[in-house]
Amino acid sequence: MVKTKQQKAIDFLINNGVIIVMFILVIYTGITNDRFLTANNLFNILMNMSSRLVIALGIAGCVITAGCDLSAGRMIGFAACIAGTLLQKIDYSGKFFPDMQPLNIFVALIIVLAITGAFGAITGFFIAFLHVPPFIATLAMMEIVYGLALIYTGATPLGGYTTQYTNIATGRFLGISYLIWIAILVAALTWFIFNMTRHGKYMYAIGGNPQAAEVAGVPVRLTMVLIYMKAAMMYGLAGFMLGAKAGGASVNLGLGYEMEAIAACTIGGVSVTGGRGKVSSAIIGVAVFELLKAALQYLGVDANAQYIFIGLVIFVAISLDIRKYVAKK
Amino acid sequence: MTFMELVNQMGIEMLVFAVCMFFGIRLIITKDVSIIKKEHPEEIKHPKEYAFYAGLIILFLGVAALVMGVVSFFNPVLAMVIIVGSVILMGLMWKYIYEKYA
Repeated sequence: MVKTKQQKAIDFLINNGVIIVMFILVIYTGITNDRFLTANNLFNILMNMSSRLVIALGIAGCVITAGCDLSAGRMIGFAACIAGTLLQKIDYSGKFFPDMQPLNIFVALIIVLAITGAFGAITGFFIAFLHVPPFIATLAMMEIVYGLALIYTGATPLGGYTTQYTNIATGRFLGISYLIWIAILVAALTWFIFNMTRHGKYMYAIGGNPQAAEVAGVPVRLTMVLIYMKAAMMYGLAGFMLGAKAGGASVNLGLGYEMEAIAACTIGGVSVTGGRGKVSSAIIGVAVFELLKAALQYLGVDANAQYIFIGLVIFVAISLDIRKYVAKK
Repeated sequence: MTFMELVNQMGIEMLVFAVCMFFGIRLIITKDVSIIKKEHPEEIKHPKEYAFYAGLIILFLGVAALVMGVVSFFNPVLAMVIIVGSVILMGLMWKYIYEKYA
């Protein structure tokens, strides 16, 4: 059935309703509050976006294959704790490893990525080889990672980081924070993987129809393991960035970030039913989400009420995505 | 120990338990495989049996999480061993039911 222009316009408004409403809210906040649309505030929003974008790009890969990753938040907390324990000042009174010299940040980053990547590969193995649904496998991994983080740190908050580490958040290159540069690099690398590599094509094929992809010769199992491993490494990097930004960490860092990342992907256009989504979708989703949070703060909305608002946005965004899927079917 | 202290100590385990109960009981009662396999549920050869046993496995994970939470009060390492063992067992059971019913 051919749609009329009016129907197309209505569909566009419904499908992009969340983004439109949020932009109206942002414009309204900008008009009513002089401090909102300032360079300093926008820079802060970009700083907040940087780690969220890295998480969203990791989750986007899982969502494109019709999966999800509920372990992201806990993985971020664990990664931040590992990095924190390896990068404390030698003279810090509460040093986790009292006799250990702080490592070079790149060595610490590689260790963090290797550990989180290993956990991601295990999750991928459960999903691909043991056929455990992603929702259950990542829920179980969330529990394991949280337990490990608690045992590792003894539930002690960490601090006293070396300036080399905190410089990642405070330092700038060409006037832009290193955190933002890292996010740009990760986005570019993810775009390359999604669009220019065989792995990216396999990912979309699996998301469209895993059985058909397998028949077509796609190494479904290996690709799934790689997707979850890559995603977990991105959570590791995000945890590393968040630790540097906060100047400290605890196992509860990153709590609930997976839900916001899934919501951001969905708002941007990554379909929870699989097979569709781009890097730009994750960027748009994260930008809209962070702008919304900042706008709510500037409008003086109560901190607890913000959770309700964000929850509503997640609910509406996913409902609209399922509406698109049903309409397509 | 107050309720809030209990929630702080084992809030995640209680959340996992609640989520697993919700999905597990739904699967066992409705035997609707589309709850866990939204895409192409028709590909499951014996959907009712698959849904029933999947529900039981999810309940097992939920109970394991709760046991982990309780044990973590006394011995965190043992709690960790319990959850890792349970998750491995869950994976193997899932592979078994997949090969048998799917």
